[in-house]
Amino acid sequence: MMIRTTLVGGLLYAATLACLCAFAALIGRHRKLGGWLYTLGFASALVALASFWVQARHPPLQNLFGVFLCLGVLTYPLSLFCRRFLGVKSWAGDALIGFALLVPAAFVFRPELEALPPALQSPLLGAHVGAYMLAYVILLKAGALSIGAFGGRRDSSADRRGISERDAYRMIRLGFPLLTLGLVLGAVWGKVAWGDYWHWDPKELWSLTMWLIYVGYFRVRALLGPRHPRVSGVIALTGAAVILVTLLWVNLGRLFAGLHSYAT
Amino acid sequence: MSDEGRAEQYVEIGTLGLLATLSVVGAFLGAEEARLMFNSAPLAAFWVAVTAYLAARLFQGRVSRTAAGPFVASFGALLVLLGGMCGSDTAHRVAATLFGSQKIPSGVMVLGKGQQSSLVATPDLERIAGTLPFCVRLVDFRIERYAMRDGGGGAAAAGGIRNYDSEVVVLQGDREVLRKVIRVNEPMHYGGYHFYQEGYDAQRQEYTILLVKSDAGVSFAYAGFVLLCGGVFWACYAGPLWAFFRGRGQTQ
Repeated sequence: MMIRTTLVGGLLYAATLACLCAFAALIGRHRKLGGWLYTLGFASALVALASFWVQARHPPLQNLFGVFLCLGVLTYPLSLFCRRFLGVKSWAGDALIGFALLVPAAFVFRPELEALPPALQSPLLGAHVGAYMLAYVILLKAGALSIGAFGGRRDSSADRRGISERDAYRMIRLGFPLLTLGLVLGAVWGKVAWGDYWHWDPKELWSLTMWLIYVGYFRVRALLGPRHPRVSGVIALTGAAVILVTLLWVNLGRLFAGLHSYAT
Repeated sequence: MSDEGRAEQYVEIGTLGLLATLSVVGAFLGAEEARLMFNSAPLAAFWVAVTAYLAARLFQGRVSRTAAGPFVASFGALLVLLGGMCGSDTAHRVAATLFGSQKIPSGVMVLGKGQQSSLVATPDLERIAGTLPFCVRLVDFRIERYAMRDGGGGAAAAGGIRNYDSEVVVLQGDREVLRKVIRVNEPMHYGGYHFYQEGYDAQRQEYTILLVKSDAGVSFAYAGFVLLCGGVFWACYAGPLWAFFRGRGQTQ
């Protein structure tokens, strides 16, 4: 790890620190202060993203630095959307997810400016990867909410488990269509660029696994109903784990080298 | 729900679990081994069974027609599977045996500047895969490189390949019927085939390599993609959106 003295680096450090402080303030019930800090963190991350985008001259989705920066930025507007339209209130949890997503961009991956190879010079880069990024943030949040479904055994805990299950279901219902769109756009792009929709590439297979897990989530919920929050919770957490595998292990591990390896 | 319906749901969940497990196994095996595994006889039978089951559910009305989203999404998934099957090497072999079809499933053309050909080689260039019912002539092949500040890559990108393209004409006899520049992400479509910019002579840039793919099943697959996405979006968003706007209407 090296300390960055660039504008993007400074903004990212500020955003990461602000999200962590926002989380601490929010769990300490200082809602107003927490809200301001979270907003400040988002603003810093957004300026860092805009600055990196201008330097790169293309959507900064080619490497894991750009991907994690985008994921971190997306958490804040998603929080607002979920509060306003879905009734899912998890301000502190969202600040923590924002912090967790910005840490790899701030401290692990380097902000390398790379020229796009011919295959990536397509409008589908933004659409395909953008749909996936949005779906990932939403479904990771669903996984985090599902942890609440494994709470204590008392009656009051049963209520909380039910609320966690309901919130996770609403998030998965929001994210799954975007996951489907990302998968389909990837298939269309594969056909246009490489001649086939499907190449049995490790990343494609992990993406298919992820999609099947969420189809399974809906099937299991339709079968058992919302009264088995732990069963739904296990599937939602498995889906979130597969997202992390697809995002990190497939890109970083040599085990899964394939057509998508340039994403490193 | 009846016991029969419940058992059917368990089978569906089990099938999804099996397919997810096979996908993970395939990811560990690597692309080439995974392709062989998913196209092996047992799994080909599995794909046919899944497709037949999906079709039976749709046409026996077991997927509720009132739930439009899941119905449309299931129909879309069925079309994607059918499109994949129609475009497969096996489907081309069956069509050749039953109907005498001469269509080539896939192959490559290697063309030098000014050269024309209708021969398609196998991807490993070992033998001739077939002959197209028309000729393709390479007019020109160009490579575009990044300048110092292009593409955001700065000095690291200078001299790197920005794009490469082949200008070709399609000839029916002596008549020119199509002229097109084929680039990565911009294939040419003519006479039931797609032509992709696959590669080039890296040393002297004297020839280009075009990937030739049959377009069998493509329309099915694209229609399936649209229906799958439309159905999933409808199933997941229509209800909450309807409830939200109805709630707003009532409060106003």
